[in-house]
Amino acid sequence: MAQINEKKQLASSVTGFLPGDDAVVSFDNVSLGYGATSEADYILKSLSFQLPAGSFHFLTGPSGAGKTSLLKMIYLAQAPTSGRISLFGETVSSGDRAQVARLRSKLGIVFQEFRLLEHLNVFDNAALPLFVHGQSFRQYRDDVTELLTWVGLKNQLQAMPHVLSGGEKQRLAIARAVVTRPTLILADEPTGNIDYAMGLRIMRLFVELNRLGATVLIATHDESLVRASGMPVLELKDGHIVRRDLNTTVGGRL
Amino acid sequence: MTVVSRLSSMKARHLLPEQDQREIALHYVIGVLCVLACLAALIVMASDRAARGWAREIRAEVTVQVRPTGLESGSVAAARAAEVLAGVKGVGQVTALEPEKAKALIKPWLGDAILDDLPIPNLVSVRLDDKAPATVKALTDALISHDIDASIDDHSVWLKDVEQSALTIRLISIGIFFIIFTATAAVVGFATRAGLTARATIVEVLSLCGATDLFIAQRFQYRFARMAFESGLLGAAIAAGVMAVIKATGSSQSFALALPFSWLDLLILLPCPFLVALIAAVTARIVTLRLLGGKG
Ligand SMILES: Nc1ncnc2c1ncn2[C@@H]1O[C@H](COP(=O)(O)OP(=O)(O)O)[C@@H](O)[C@H]1O
Ligand SMILES: [Mg+2]
Repeated sequence: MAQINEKKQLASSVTGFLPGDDAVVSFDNVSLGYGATSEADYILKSLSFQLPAGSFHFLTGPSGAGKTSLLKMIYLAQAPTSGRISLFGETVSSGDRAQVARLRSKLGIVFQEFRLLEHLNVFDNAALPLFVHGQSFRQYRDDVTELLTWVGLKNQLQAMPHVLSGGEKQRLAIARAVVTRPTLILADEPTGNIDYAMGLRIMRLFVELNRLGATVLIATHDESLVRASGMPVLELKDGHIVRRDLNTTVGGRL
Repeated sequence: MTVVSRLSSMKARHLLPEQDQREIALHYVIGVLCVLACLAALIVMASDRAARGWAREIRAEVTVQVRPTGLESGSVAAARAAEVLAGVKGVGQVTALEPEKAKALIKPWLGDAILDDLPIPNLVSVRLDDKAPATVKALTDALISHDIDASIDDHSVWLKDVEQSALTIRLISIGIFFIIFTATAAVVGFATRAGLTARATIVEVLSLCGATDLFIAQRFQYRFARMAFESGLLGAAIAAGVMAVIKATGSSQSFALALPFSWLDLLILLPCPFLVALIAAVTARIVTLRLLGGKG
């Protein structure tokens, strides 16, 4: 397993792109207008790129550049105005609810606004994706507890979300996103509410999951963290991708 | 590990938080509908029993009107007819209704004066054997063979009336059931819609976690089925209570005559909670799937 992933990472570090069917995310002339009639007013303009399996990218760009919008299109919460999106080699067709559920079950998403369920405790929130996929409490109890211990929520397993601090909520949201060991991890400003040290710790978790095979895309405007990490960057500006680092520095300085 | 052992496993129904206010109203409405449905069912049972009883009574009796011929007086002819009829196979008790008795019965309404001139028919009441009742033809043949001019009324007009009423009550009840069930479905559908809107964020998070529409629909399905079952149980219990009070107090004889309840009738209430739960489940499932699929 580790060897295969290393191979993939080596391959992607050399080419930056893997053959199409090995791309986890593939955008083909994708535009997003949010109702704008003129193409000049589109938020995202004719984007074409691929995220190879096992790659790690920071999605950067100024506030309002469309980072969240881009992630939303990947997790199928926002349909593109035009263009074609493929996930795991499967072309996304609009209105196919079964496909949405199937593709989403391979995703781990950290939302900018957390989206925790306020009526469930910390443990149940983190276990939610496993529960949704039919796992029983016995099956996930130990994994979930271990993960929550790792993100520093060991003593709050039964706390309700409203008593958590912003940083704790963020860590819970991250735990929920990675609890299924997703193939593709999307995170929207995952370090926005936590201190620098915890931010690095969280980034190391993402890098660790990437080493284990997950493809990772993290939207952030935290330049210092990006620079400190030395990880590849996909930068958005004025609706275009203005910088695209190849996956040459896997592992970076984290 | 002590912390973990204190954790309870997440129950499916915990995924959708309770919404007390809204749900109390729904409980109430479904409960009321169930009380009505159960009472309707009990009334059908009882009125059916009453109708069957009356029909049996009516069928068991035949009235013969004797027309005196020649020199014979009315009461003599009636007595002779009664004797003849009593000899027919399948006939139980035979009673000639004496004109004096008939007069006495009518007197309070008509008074003495008119009564003297009033032609009082000579009637013979024939009680038929329960198991092998004599046919009208057998009675007619017997009378003819003894040269008695008479007409036989087997009460078939009344019988038709009773049967017609029983049928009408049954049809009305079916109509009531239909209305109640569609009302239940409508109210659950409405509540599902409201519930889905109120819990839109939860539904969205579930969906983002990879939940299928069916998984989400099942949460609502179980939630509303459970709620309807509880209401149905309560509704059936209340209906049973109403019946028990009517039966136990026996306050009015005529009530017991019109609706002769039997304790066994209560068995018909058993399926009620299951039936409303089923209606609620199916409705909630369909409505959720339609709304999630964007077809609502
Ligand atoms: N649902 C929406 N409808 C219309 N405009 C939107 C919507 N979401 C975002 N936008 C606009 O799209 C632009 C990009 O937003 P966003 O993707 O949130 O950027 P970022 O995450 O990079 O800050 C912003 O100008 C924002 O106002
Ligand atoms: Mg954003």
